[in-house]
Amino acid sequence: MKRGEPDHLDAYLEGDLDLRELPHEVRGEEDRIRELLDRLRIEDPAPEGLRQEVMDAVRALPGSRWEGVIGWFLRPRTIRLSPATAGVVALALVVALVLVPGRGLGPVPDRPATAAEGVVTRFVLVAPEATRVAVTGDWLGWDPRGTPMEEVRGTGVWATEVPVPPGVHEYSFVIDGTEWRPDPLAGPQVDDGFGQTNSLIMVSASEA
Amino acid sequence: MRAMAVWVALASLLVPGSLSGQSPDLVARLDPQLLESVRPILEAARQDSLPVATLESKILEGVAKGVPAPRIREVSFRLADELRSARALLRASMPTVPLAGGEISAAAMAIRHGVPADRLVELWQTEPGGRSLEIPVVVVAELVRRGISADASIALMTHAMEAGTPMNRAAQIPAKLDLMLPSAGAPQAALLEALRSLGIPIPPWAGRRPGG
Repeated sequence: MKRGEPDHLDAYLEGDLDLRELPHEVRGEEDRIRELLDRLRIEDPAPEGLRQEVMDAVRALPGSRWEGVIGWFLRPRTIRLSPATAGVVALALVVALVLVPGRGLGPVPDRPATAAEGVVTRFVLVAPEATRVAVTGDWLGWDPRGTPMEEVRGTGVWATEVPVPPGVHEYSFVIDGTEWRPDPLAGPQVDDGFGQTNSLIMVSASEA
Repeated sequence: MRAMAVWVALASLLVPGSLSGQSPDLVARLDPQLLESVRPILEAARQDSLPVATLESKILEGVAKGVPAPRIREVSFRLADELRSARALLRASMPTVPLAGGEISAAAMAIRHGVPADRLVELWQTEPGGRSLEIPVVVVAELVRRGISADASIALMTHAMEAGTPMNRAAQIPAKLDLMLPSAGAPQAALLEALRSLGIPIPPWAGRRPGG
């Protein structure tokens, strides 16, 4: 999903944008959007004085209870997960990072930067065994140091956003500085001629 | 002062040709032997108006991956041949149309995947405005690699271009086809599903001639 789309949706919900001005992929969801808006519409306004009653009740709550609740969240805890659960958590993170944006699997060319910088593109790799991961490709002269990726809080999911120049590019992940691995989430893959496989990314500078 | 100028002039004559024309990245990262062995390939490519950057990138990739020098030279030589052949085939049909380096590289990839060069030319005829055809050519190559016929792939892409399909959406067709394949069963059916999913106009003939 483009970063601008939530803004579009906000503007639409605020009535500042007409449905026809929304991006094409959002516009296709017209029926679902209308259905959601119908569900959200409040038919019966809250009784007069309810807001004051609620606020009074909240203020009357003993402070120690709130402190206890907040403290529960703030205290360091050991969370024990089975490998299967950890795998599910990692998968959920991948879904959150890659699928939810709505552009399918693989690297996601996101928003245009300047012509010199390229198009900011998100790369994601699940590599729980890795201690460091980088993404590199022809636009970086295949520098094995590439662009370092960051692990999402010990989940084994590595991600980064990189400006990629418009055009067609070959790229690969570099695990721990030695292992070259194609992007398992990317569709197009090409033989690198050296007995390995590269991933392919097509980056368009504009909508047209 | 004059003596120093003479020494500088003499020194510049002694600098190997390999150092004068190559990118600084190449000079910095290649050992002298490998640099010397690929120098004729790069010089010939430059003379033939081939995309030298593509070749330099392949050489740097080999070095980064720790590939032995003879293998790097062999792969570079073969790639230069493919680029030369692709450019010649395109030039035979389009003697005056400017060709970008990326377009020649993309055409070489498409020809490698079995797309006839004379059919590729149709893409240029569809887009006379000078917009880069690197992505459309690679999409055609990727579709052919996935079992869609060259005729159908080119017809689909020209139809999409004529309909004004944004290139960033067209670029997603191969990956989307892969996603649809398990449920669709056949590449042709998966392609139609992918086009629908991406909101790309389906050519009128697609239902009658699945796969072309």
